[in-house]
Amino acid sequence: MKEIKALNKKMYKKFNQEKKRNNVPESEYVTEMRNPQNIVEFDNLKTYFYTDQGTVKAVDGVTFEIPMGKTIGIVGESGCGKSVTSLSLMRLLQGPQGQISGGEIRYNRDEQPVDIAKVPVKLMQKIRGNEISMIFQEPMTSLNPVFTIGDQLSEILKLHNPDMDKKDMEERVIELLRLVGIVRDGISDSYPHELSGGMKQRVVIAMALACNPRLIIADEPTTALDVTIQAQILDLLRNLKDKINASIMLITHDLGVVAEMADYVVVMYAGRVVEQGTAQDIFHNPAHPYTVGLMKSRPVLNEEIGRLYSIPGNVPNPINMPSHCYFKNRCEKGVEKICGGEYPPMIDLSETHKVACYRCNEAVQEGGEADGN
Amino acid sequence: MATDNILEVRNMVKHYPIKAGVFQHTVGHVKSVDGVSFNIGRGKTFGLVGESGCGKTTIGRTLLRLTEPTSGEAILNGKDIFKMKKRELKEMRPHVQMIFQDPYSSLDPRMPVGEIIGEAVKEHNIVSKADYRDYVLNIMEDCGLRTYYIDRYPHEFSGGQRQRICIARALALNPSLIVADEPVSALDVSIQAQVINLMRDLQEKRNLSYLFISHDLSVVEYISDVVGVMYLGNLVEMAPKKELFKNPQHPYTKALLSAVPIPDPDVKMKRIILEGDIPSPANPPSGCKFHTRCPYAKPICKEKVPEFKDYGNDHQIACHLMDEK
Repeated sequence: MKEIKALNKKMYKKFNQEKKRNNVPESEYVTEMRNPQNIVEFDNLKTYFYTDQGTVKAVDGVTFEIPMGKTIGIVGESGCGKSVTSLSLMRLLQGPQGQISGGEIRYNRDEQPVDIAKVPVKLMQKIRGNEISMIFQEPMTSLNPVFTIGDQLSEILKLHNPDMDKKDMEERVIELLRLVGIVRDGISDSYPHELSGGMKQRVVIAMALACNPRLIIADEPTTALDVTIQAQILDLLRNLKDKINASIMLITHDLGVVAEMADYVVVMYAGRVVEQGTAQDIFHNPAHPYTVGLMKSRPVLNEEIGRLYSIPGNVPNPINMPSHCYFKNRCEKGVEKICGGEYPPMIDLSETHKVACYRCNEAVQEGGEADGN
Repeated sequence: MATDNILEVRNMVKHYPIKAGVFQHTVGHVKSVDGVSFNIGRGKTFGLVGESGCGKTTIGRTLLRLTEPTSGEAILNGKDIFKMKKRELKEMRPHVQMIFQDPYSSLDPRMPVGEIIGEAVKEHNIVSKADYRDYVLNIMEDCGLRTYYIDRYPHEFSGGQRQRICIARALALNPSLIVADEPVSALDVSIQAQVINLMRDLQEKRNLSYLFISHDLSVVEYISDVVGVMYLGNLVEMAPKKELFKNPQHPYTKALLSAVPIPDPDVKMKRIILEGDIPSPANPPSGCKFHTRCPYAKPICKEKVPEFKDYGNDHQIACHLMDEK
């Protein structure tokens, strides 16, 4: 453990020095998009947490892209790295442990595409909240209780548009609140505790929209809300996306929400993408045993089932991941001879549909369910 | 009392006083539960759904006398829980147990698993001292926990295993009724399935009855026999599971059901989106409490409280629109 601590200290120092440099040459972070129709391309992104117990590979080689004007849904259970992926994109990782250790996040900026992983801090401050913004999970904790919501909304405007005058700003705040459907007299003078959960989430959405972002990251935007309020918020998000022509990166564990909102779906497991494709691909022909298991383990309204399917076992320990497929020990299709080898590469099933499984082409064997612990 | 019911709740009311001023006098009441009646059959599951703040958790807590009821009765095995004295209550406790929502905060971090499960067994003298350890091990096995976990501490377990410990703790007293308050809401999807399956297996094995409280309609549909839908402290609709989900009648139930996202990108449902938020239970609307958000509200809904009536097939509904049909 002492050795790890000493090693980590060196790492932190190295990362910190790189971050503190003043004049980073443009050549270091300017890149080319692989496809100019994409807003963001993740390319083999690796985000590690250097903890005293060992290195946690929270995101380990994630590759996918977000096309312009589309909604992409990222699904997975807690701890699979979906939130860390989005935090990497915002460069909001908890330092000094959390660091982007490899790969590229290419972002299609108006002037020129940049690699978010290497962008200097100053430029990142211009992008964050302005061009890429985020909606957090808990509206109760992501608003400041001692400021009125009007103050909190104008703070963002002030920060990103320093020469905006006061009157314009007030008008913009009202406009934003109208956009999310909670405009009424004196609303901008109210404090967060005076609003209900659904209204608070609308305020958080208004904050995310304040600077006309090109990409909105919604990290579990409805998990803390009731179903009826969830329906309202999802409806709002869908309409807004078309109105302001932004892309949405929707992170959730609820397959129903994804099916309703997303054009493309990425399924993550233990820090890696196991399957990706269009919503139709994923929901009609799921190929990875994990995706199949995830879908079968949820009861669906008005569908009768004898016994719920449950994926046996647990997610493996994130420190010391095995070298073979991470899902092997929980997989009912696993075969030692094939799956015991290297981690499976991404296999193209069709133009849009990709899966990381050696045995995805073979039929799923029904039954064989076991309750692990 | 019908012999096949383990619990009959009649007109349960729970009002929390709102206090204000220097002298803390009561200025009003939060009407958390405002006259609710239902039965739970022996070996059956009664599912209670509703949005947050509708009073479903208060019902569970009041049934165990964790909070004192304002009025009403709850008859368990011929005795009214709400009228029991302290000693009778202690005798009743082993029969009704509770599983809480958050397995992270409902286990004592400084107690090993064996003690967590066995503490109440000792207190209530369920088994003799000689059999005690075997008894605890047996319960652990039933709940899918390895027996060598007995000396471990809660922090060594994952969420799903912790919830298994909570279930084992409730089960150790040999209860006939378990109040499960959102037992799977804090768990991941694949772990949810394991816990739900475990609860079902145990029900079959021990003829348990559940009061299953949840906001997740698809889980409630899966596990329940009879389902009650609550809104602002009242039941608005109650029916056997199949009847309720195939043939929902109350506008609130319909909206609630249509709001559940379906995991199929091609199904584009006609969604009923309710306007606004749930009103405050301290100052509920007059007449039918749902009229402020109801898309079909009529003048009568503002004035008269609808009766909770049986419209055939054990389907009880509280809505004025039913009488017009």
